Amino acid sequence: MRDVAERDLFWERGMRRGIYEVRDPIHTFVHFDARERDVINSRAFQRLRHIHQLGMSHFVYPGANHTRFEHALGVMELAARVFERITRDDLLTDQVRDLVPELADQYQREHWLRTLRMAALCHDLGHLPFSHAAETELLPDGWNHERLTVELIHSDELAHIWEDSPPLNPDEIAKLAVGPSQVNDSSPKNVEAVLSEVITGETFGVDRIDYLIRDSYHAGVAYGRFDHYRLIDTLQLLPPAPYHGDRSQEPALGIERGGIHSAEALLLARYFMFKQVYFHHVRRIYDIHLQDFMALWLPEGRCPVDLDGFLALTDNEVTAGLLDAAYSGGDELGEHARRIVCRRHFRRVYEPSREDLEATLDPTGEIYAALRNRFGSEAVRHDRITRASEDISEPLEAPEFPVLFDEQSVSSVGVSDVLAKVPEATVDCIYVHPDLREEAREWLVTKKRDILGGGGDGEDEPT
Amino acid sequence: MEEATAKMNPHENAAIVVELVRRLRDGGSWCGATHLQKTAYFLKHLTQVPVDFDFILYKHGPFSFDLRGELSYLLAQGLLERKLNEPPYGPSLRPGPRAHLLAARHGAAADRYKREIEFVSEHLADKGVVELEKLGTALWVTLNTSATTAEERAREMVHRKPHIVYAEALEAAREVDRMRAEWTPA
Repeated sequence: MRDVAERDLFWERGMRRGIYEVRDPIHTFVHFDARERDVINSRAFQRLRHIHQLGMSHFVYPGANHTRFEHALGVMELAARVFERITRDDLLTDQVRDLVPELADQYQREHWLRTLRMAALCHDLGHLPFSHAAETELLPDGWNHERLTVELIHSDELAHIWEDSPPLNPDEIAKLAVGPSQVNDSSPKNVEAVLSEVITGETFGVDRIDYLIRDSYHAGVAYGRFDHYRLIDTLQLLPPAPYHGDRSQEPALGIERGGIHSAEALLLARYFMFKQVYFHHVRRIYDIHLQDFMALWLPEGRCPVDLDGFLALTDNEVTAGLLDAAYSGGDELGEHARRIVCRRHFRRVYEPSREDLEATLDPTGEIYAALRNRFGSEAVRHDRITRASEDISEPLEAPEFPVLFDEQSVSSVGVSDVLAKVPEATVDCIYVHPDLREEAREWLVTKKRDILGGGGDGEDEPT
Repeated sequence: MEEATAKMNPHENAAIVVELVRRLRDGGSWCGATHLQKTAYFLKHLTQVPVDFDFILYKHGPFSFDLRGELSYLLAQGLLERKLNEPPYGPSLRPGPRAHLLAARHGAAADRYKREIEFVSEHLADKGVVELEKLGTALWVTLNTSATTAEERAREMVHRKPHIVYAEALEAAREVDRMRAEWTPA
């Protein structure tokens, strides 16, 4: 904003354009302006109506048919609420004003609010069909859904929206939408680092808040609900908790003391939803079967990354392909399709016990190798969450965050016994062909002790 | 200085991280996640240990989301654990109840880079997060910008991290130079 006249024109245009609203089962209403409506009406955003939020979870939870379309709207709504809260004048400390002066200036703050809302709206544009399920092996090297999101933000279709007045910077939108690690920027500005936490932050990111509540609602699983109104109302930019009297200066998203119970509820909800829904063993094997199917069904086994080809591929096309293959042929493609369509999915036969984990470093890897040798590699699958896995981009443990306690910033796990004890949620199990389930289980009963005592390393990567 | 490019076996990666935690604690480090992030940056980019983590200049200096994910996995596997401390302090990291299994199977990887791990631990274990942030940022600026003299790099540091005072940035740049001069690859 160069002068007063331009600022006044900005506000006047905003008022003339009007605000629109749409009903939402989670947030009651989602509001947006004409420019955001242009993004919503774009081909890239409308495509999200045809991308299931929870991948293949509707095969386990029939109500989980919600899409990334309404989730993105919800994230935008929450992002604005959080932004308004943490940039409130009485909540901005002198330290935050010094480090992030943009948040203390009315007109820069308006720019960053608009940028944040657009970033929230766009943050999932690059998702493949059935969301994470198909991503890891089906994109060319160097590509992921975040990179596709960035490409779409910079695409010609959206460029004219950013160029409208007042102009928005697509680089800034992209950084806030996918986080700094996914954008080719090795040194984000303080304001970008702070605001990227609002959407993608590992504790209080609104992406997570919306999907936990929304997924819980649609799946019919009560554990995912928590008082997000109270939580947002206690958020604040705080200095990190100290280490033995030593404290870094850069602010992080934390909460006032009064919000600790809502934060506990959030992190417990997260844990339960991971255990009950996201890591449900049947849902996970459906993800694996879908990956097997798409590797054969897609041209050259790869999802297109040219934007026209990418935008033409949604859950609808994949579902049509699955149904066609399942009922029309006896070939390998049909076999993979029937595992999903006809519920001929592989069955879980092994998860490591506490005793197994105490006996050897990688019991599941060793069992997996032994089962493959016994029954053939095509009849066995190993599912494990590792750091390299693409289907989880957040910590497995309850993240630590700062809490404002008696006017100083303290660690969350130091003031909450609940947060200190929330266990890690993870996945590490083996499945076999349904026709081999009983035989495999009986074989393992007699052989497990020998396998785990054999000193193998289980080096095979899960498939 | 050549950048480490070879990718490491995931188990070896894990063994080196756990060993680094052990050495840092032995050296008196508080060894929170932030301490580990900065010392891992030195391990990779000063001593050239090819750990599979990419770093950006982010919170409190160099930060790796890959390492963040690795720590999460190691905690879930019981190879690391969090030691809770009295408020207001954050938790520290220490080898977990299954770390001995990792050492028994993949200890050779940590042995292979014993000299590098010891060098980094000896120089950084007694540093707090504030000092580590400055040193990490100084090394990052040294390796990733065109600034050459200590003064230029200090100005670059202050530009990117305004809360760092110039005099302290200059001292950090000189300290990094001393460390780089002292380190001799095998």
